[in-house]
Formats: sequence, structure tokens, C-alpha cells
Amino acid sequence: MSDEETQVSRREFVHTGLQLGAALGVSGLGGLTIVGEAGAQTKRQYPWESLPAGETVPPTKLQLRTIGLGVSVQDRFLREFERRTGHKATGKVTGLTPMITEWLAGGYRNYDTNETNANRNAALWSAKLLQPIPVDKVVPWKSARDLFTNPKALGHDEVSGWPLVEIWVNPKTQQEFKLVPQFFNCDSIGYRYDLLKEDVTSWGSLVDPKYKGKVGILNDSLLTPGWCAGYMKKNNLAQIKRSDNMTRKELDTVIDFLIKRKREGQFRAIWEDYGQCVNMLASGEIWLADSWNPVVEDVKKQGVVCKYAFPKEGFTAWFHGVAVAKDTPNLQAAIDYVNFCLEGWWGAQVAPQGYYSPTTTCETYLKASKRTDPQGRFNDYEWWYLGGENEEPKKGWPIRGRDTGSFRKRWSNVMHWMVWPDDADYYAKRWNDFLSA
Amino acid sequence: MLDRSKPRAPMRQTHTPPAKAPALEVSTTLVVRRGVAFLERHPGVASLLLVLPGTIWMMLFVGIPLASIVLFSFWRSGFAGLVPDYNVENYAALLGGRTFWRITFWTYEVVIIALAGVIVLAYPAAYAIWRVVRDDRWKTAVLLLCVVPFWTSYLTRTITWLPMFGREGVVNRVLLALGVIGEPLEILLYTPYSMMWGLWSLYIVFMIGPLYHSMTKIDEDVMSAAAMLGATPLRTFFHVVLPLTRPGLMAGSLFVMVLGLGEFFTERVIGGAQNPMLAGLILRQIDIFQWASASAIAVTLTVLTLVTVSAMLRLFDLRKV
Amino acid sequence: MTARAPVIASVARPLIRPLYLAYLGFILAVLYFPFVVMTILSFQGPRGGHTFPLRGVSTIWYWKLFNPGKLTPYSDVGEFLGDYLASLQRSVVLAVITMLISTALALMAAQAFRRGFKGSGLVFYLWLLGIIVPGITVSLGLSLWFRRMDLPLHWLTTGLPVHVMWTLPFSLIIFLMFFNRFDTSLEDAALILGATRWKTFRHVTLPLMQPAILTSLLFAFTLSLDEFQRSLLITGTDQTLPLMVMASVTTRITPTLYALGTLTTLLSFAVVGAYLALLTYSLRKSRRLVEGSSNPRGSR
Repeated sequence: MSDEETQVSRREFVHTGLQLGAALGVSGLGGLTIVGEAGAQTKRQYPWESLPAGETVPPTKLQLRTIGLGVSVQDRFLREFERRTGHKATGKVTGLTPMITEWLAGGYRNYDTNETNANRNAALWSAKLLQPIPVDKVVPWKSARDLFTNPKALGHDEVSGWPLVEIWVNPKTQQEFKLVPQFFNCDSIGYRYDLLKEDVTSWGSLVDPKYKGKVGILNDSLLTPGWCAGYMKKNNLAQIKRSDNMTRKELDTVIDFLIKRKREGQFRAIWEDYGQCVNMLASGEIWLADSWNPVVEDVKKQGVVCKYAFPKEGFTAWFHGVAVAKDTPNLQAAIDYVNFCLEGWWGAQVAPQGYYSPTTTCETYLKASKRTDPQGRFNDYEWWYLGGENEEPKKGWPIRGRDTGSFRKRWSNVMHWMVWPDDADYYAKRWNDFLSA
Repeated sequence: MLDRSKPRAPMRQTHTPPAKAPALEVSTTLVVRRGVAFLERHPGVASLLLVLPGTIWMMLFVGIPLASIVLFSFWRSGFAGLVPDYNVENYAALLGGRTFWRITFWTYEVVIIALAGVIVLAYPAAYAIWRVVRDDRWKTAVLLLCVVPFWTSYLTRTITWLPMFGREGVVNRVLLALGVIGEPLEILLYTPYSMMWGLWSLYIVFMIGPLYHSMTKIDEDVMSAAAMLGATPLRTFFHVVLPLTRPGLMAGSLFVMVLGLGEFFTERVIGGAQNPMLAGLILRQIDIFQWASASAIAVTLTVLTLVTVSAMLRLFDLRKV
Repeated sequence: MTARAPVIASVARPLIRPLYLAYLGFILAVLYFPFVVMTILSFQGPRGGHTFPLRGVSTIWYWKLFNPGKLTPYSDVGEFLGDYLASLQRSVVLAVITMLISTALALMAAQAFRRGFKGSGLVFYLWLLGIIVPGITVSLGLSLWFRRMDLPLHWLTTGLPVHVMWTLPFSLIIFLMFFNRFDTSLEDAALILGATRWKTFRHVTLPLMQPAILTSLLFAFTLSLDEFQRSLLITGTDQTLPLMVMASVTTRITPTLYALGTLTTLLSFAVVGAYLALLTYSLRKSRRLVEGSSNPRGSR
């Protein structure tokens, strides 16, 4: 694009941004969907590409029926998809367990795609209820991040093969997707800086008797022992080879340790749902928890001093993706949807929750928006991907940027990926022991 | 005594025959009349027909899933789904583990305390509605008022526990302001005590209704006879009201018992999830796609509940006419 | 009747009566305490959470109920913008149909159980299984079967059987409780006078059963409205209210839920109030009728 053209399109984007906002029922640029129309093109090659505001593509004969968690299945995203492609889009929001169980029980015939956590996808894939997507059908994949294409990338786990082994049918040739990555992040600890009066720098704080009775942990038989194992391994409290996929003996050590702490009254509550965790942190019922990133952002929005930690043992990484149902009659709609999620607009919408997009296409959208910084100095790309004022994890309060630092900083500090352990049954059994101890 | 097993021959009344109707309608009414007459003569068949629709419904929608679950409990859980590999591993692992028994005892402990609490709390309330509230309309109003809270999702009501009973909640703030306590009470939330309080407030409706119902059937003459004979209110209660409200007590207890044994949600949300109940184990197994062991737990829970119910019915058979 | 006086006197001793009333008030207060908090918090400011303190006062959460899917300047990405009112409507429709079917089937069955029939014990336990078998496994078993038979999942067609299955045992127990040691003298009188069984049932038994029928309708309605374990895997794309609330809680908890709770409670009060008004009207009408005729009031 020539300079002149870029100038014109930049002027245009504010205007079209406002129009887009009006079209989606938001007044003014205060609305969150407005992450700018980066160069609204009049000539589109694909239906899922960005469309100038106010226009709508006529309906097609296809429809998209998706199912997923509340973070990725949202009415606004589906409406935008419908606007751009003309495919009628409906989505069902439900929890991970009911979603996968329904799919496995034959419910996959009711949907075209599902949006799931990668560690659950292996079950669906091995049950042959999904179909592979050729990589050339996913156009934005040209701008994919290293993490999902290169085994030597920052954050890649050689031992488990994640994330490549979960995405590709054959990780070496990378020709077909089992699961198209949609968004990803890595988790640590959310804490009330104003109540703790110091920064949390280790997973050990969650099991530190200093914070007895002020800790909340997630009620998940697979994930919670995971971070505890990582903590114990890195601090030489136990001999553990793989903290993401432990043997029975290793798991026993971790669970027995957790039981000991539980009996000492370490854990105030064990949380299940997102909302519950926000609830507990915001009201001060617990001071720290192994919460998710958006929880901390939500608590911050309520004016509470809450931070996300940069633990020295590392983050626990995960990713969500879109999988396509085996015999869907709406295959083209499903493929359009996958492309839509990676095109950039979608990725920009989920960024303010701390989620990263697997392709770099969202950067143009994010750079054009300044929603997050209350002082308006940093654009959203600088805030969420580059860490704001600097790359480092932020100390103290107030902070000017993402608490845990830049993309590069975080992904060079990964403890393990949230893999589905081989011995999941034993994990569940010992977790029951823990809960009833 | 009236022998109601044999149908009584109706006394025929003379009446003018109906006007001649078109042929088709006559035959329909004839069939209906014949059918009704047949049923009158054979009350056994009539009974079976009456109970049939509901029974078919239950067979289809409970019988079939239950049969499936029993079947699954003897299979193996594959990585994602079931493998028809018959074995008793699921039961062996379940019943052999200490955790299962610990959780079962805890579940029964919870249910029994819940039931006892609900009975103690509900009786005075039902009695008050029956005898102390005078107008019929007020009685209906109070009963309906007891039910209205349950038309809001239970989940929404449990969410309000945090602003009510949390460390920064209303109760604690008021108590602190009044100087009754020096530090916020932690016992009000995420403890077994808070869970029990939650269960009581959940189940009390199921007891007040049936109890009140039974009380209304108590003859006023009996009550006045007791009073005239000089019984104190307490004696009247234990020797008159309690025995006569046994049907309601049993119905309410059945409800609370069965609901309590299937309970896990309150424990998680209000009880802090640190003292799991039996039904929660099932969900946990489904979380990790272990449908076979989930089925085994479900079957075990069903058997336990059936045994409990039949034991309760032995104390007082609700079906006695 | 002069016999009434000592009874009332023994209960209505000046100290005891208000104590009972106070206790009743206490129970109601406990049941409604969450609603007081809920109502206050439903006016939470736009940036507030769903616990105290109130950060400003606004009706935005009510607005969100009536404008599902719409964003506001305070909206953030993860907010759940589902259509609660639509799912409430579905739940109410389902609950009404459930209560009618459940009461009818249970009524018929209770009549059969009264007379007794072969295998009634087994049938009784079969009916009880509806509330005994753990909900989530029923959902799982049924969804596998619906899949086998290629039945599409829909809240009304596959959801209804499951709701009725859940409420039917409750209705049955209520009717059985009603018939337990039921005074059959009126029915017997009718039969002796030559009425057929059907006529007896319709004109004698049924009116007597009114309180049991109403209780069954009420319980079935209430139970169906909040049922979610069994419906979890078999409702299909359009969810009932409890499922939508569950989905919302796993995403974000916003005071929208409180606004919904407050609205439904106010609506319920209106319905109950209307019912009481109707009752008053019919009571006055029947009193006029009774006073008009010279029949003394029944001995029972």
C-alpha cells in the first residue's frame, strides 16, 4: 500500500470504528469491540475477512453451530462472523465437562465445531469424532507464531511435545490440524497485593503456612497437583521427573504434602468456577489463589489492588483450540470460522483478558486501540504483548503495564504445559483422598 | 365394615333415553360405556390401567438409563468412552478404598443431621401455620411465601452467601459494628457448619408442606379432647400431634433423605469443597471420562438410597391405606 | 362449637402465640434474607462486583436483562451476555407442562396404589428411582440412548420427559401421604347410594383432594424450574434457566443474576397476590352461597 493509501485508511479507521461500534450497539469508542478497522478493504478475497462497518453479507445456506466455554463463545463474536460470512451462527455456552461428555455421547452430530481446552481434545480425537483440517485451508496461518510451528520455539516443551503434538496430526510434516489453536496463555497466582503487602514470586506462597487460611485453590484433580509438583520439583522438595505427567509414587508425595497442609488449615476454600474466584479475591475472602489471568483483570476492574505473579518456578501453560466435527454438513462454514478466529479481529477482542492469539494478525487491530491503559500512553499491543512500560514483571503498585511482563519474558519461563496425564484415574482417586482428608 | 372389593350394583334410575344420534356417534358412546362398565366390574384392571402411563414413562426414562448404567459399571473406561470389557474392577477399586467409606459415612452423617435439624425446625413452623395463623387466606399466603424463594435459581441464592456471610459480608459487618465480635466470623462460610445451615434452609420447605398437610387432617375434636383432659401443650404434641402427623413426617423425611443423598452442590459452593459427598464423586469421575467407574458409583449410591428408603418405609409404610 | 374455646385458649396463651408468630417470622426472614441482599446488590454500580461494597447505584443490570447481547461502555470481553429472559420463559413453560403431567399421572397411580394391585411394591420402587438415581448419570445414560435413536435434543421434546421423571415421584409421595389413613366414609356413602366409581371419584374424591393436587402442582412446578443435573446433557442448544445461570457463573458472576432474581421474586409475589385475591373472591362467593342455603356446615 502506498503512503497515501495508508494515510487515507488510517483516517478512515476511526470513522469506520465508530460506525462499527454503532452497528454493534455501542456508543462511542468507550465500547470494547472497537479495536479499530485496520484498513477496511473494499475487495475481499475470503468471506471471513474484515468487512466495512454497516455492511452485511447476504445469508448463505450454511450455518455454524459451535459449543464452547463462555470466554470464546460469545454472541458478539458470532454476530460478527454472521455479518461477514452470511452463515447463520449459533453457539452454546457450557462447562468443559458437559461439553466433552455431550460430544462423546453422540452430541457431536448437533454441532459443527467445538472450542475446547487442548488437553481434552486428545480424547475426542482418539474417539474419531473430529476431522483434520488441511493447513492450506487456514489462510492466516501464514502469520503463525513460532510456538505452534517450531519445536525450538520459546515455551515449547520437548519432553511432552506440547503444543505441537496436540495441534498437528503429524508434528513433523505439519500438514493437517487435529485442533486449530484459538487462544492461549500461561497461568500463575493471583494475589491481593494490598493485603499481602509484598509481591508473590513463587508457587510456594500458596502452600506457605504464613498465609494459612487465606488461600484458595482450584478444584481440579489434574491441574492443582501439577503446579504443586512443579514447585516441589524446582525447590528440591521431591524427586519428580515430569511435573505435568507424574507417576503414582510421585503423585503420592505431592498429594500427601497437600493433605498435610489441608489438615493444618492452609486452604480457606477450594474454588470451581471463574466467577467464584473473582468473588473470593475481590471480597478479600482469600488473599491468594491459583487463579486465571482474566480473574485478576476482573478484580482490578472493581478497583481492588490485585496482581498476577511471576513465579520463579515458571508458569503453567495451556491453549484452547477449535476442532471440527467429524461429519459436519457445514464444513465450509466451520473452515470459515477457524479462519475468522485467526484473522485478527477475534484475537484482538480476547487480548484484554490476557489471552494471546496464535497468529500475529491481531497486532494491527491491537496497535490501533488504547483501551487498557488508563493514562492512554500505551496501545493495547504494547500493553498486552510487550508488557507496557517495560518487559519485566511489575513490582509493587501502581503498575504501568501487564503485571507479568512481555510475551517473550513469560514464555521463556514455562514450568509445564497442562497435559492430560496418563494415569488420570489415579489422579482423581488421590484428589478425592485430598478432598475428604 | 364395608366390603369395597366387590363393585356395587348401581340402582338404576329411570330416565328418558337420549335422542337418536348418527350411527357413528352411537357406536363411540357405546364403546365408551361398555369400556367403563367393564372397568367398573374389574377394578383390578382399572388399577393397572391407571398406573400404566406413569410406569411406562418411568421405565423409559429411568429404567433404561439405570439399566445402561448398571451395564456400564461392569465395563471398562477407555480413553474416551466405554469398552465392553466385563470386569468387576470398578466395584473392587471403589469398595476397597478407604476414601469411599469415609465419604459414605460423612454423607450419611450430613443427611441425618440435616434431617434431624429440618424436623426440629419445621414442626413449630407448621404448627404455627396450622393453629396460630387464623385466616385460611393467611395460611395459604404463608405457605406460598415459603415456596416463592425456590422459584429463583438455587445457584443465584448460594452466590449471595458470600456478600451475606463472608468476611466482609453483612452479618459480620453488623456484628463487628455492634461490638459482639472482635474479628469476622470465619465459621459462617466454607465450613461444614455453613453447609449444614445451607442444607437446612434448602430442605425445610420439603418438610413444612407435608407436615402442615398432615396436621390439617387432625380432627379438632381430638385436640380439644386432649386439652379438656388436661394435657400440657408438650404432651399434646408428643402423644397426639406427632403420631397423627406420621404420614407427613414420613413423606418429608423421604424427600430430605433422598435429596440429601444425592446432594453435592451445596457442599461445593457453601461448604468450601473440602468435605466431599458421595454424589460428587460421580461428577469427578465424569470429569476425566471415567464413565465406567462413575456408573459404578452411581449404582452403589442408588442401592444405598434404596436400602435407606426401604428401611424408612419399614418404620412407617406410607402406602398403607 | 364450644369445644373450640379451650383449644384456642391453650394455644393462644398471651406469651405463646406471639412466640410462634415470631418463630414463623424468623423462618421467613431466613428464607428471604438472601433476597434482601440480592435486591440491594442488583442496583450495584456499573463497575461493581456482586459483593459489597456498592460502587455506585444504577439500574444497568436490569437494562442488561432486557437488552441481551448488547454492550455498554463498561462491558468487557468476557462478559456473559446471554438472554436470561428467554431461558426463563422456556423454564416456566417446561415447568407448567411438567406440573400438569406429573400431577395427572401421579393422581391416577395413587388411586391404583390405594386399591392395591399385584406387584405394587415393585412399581412403587420403580417410581422412586426417578429421584434416587443420581441426576448426572441419568443425563448421561439418556443422552447415549437419544443418540442411538437419532433423536435431536431439544429442551421441550427431550427435556420434558426428564423433568416429569424427576417430579413424578414427588407427586406420587404427596398423593400417597394424602391417602394414608384417608377417611373413606364420604366415598363409601356415594358408592352405597349407587354412584359409579367414576362418578364417585369425580364428584367426591377429587374435590376432597384439592389441597393435595395443589401441593403436587406447586412442588412439581418448583422442582422443575430449578432442575439442572438431569437436563445438563440432553437439553440441546437452547438452555433452560438453571443451565444458563450455570453457564454464566462459570464465565463471570455479574449482578445481572441478582436483577433476574429480584424480578422473578417480585413477579412471584404478584402471582401469589393475584391468587390470594382470587381466593378471597371465591371465598366470599361461597360464603354467600352457604349463608343463602340453610345447610349447616359439615361436621368435619
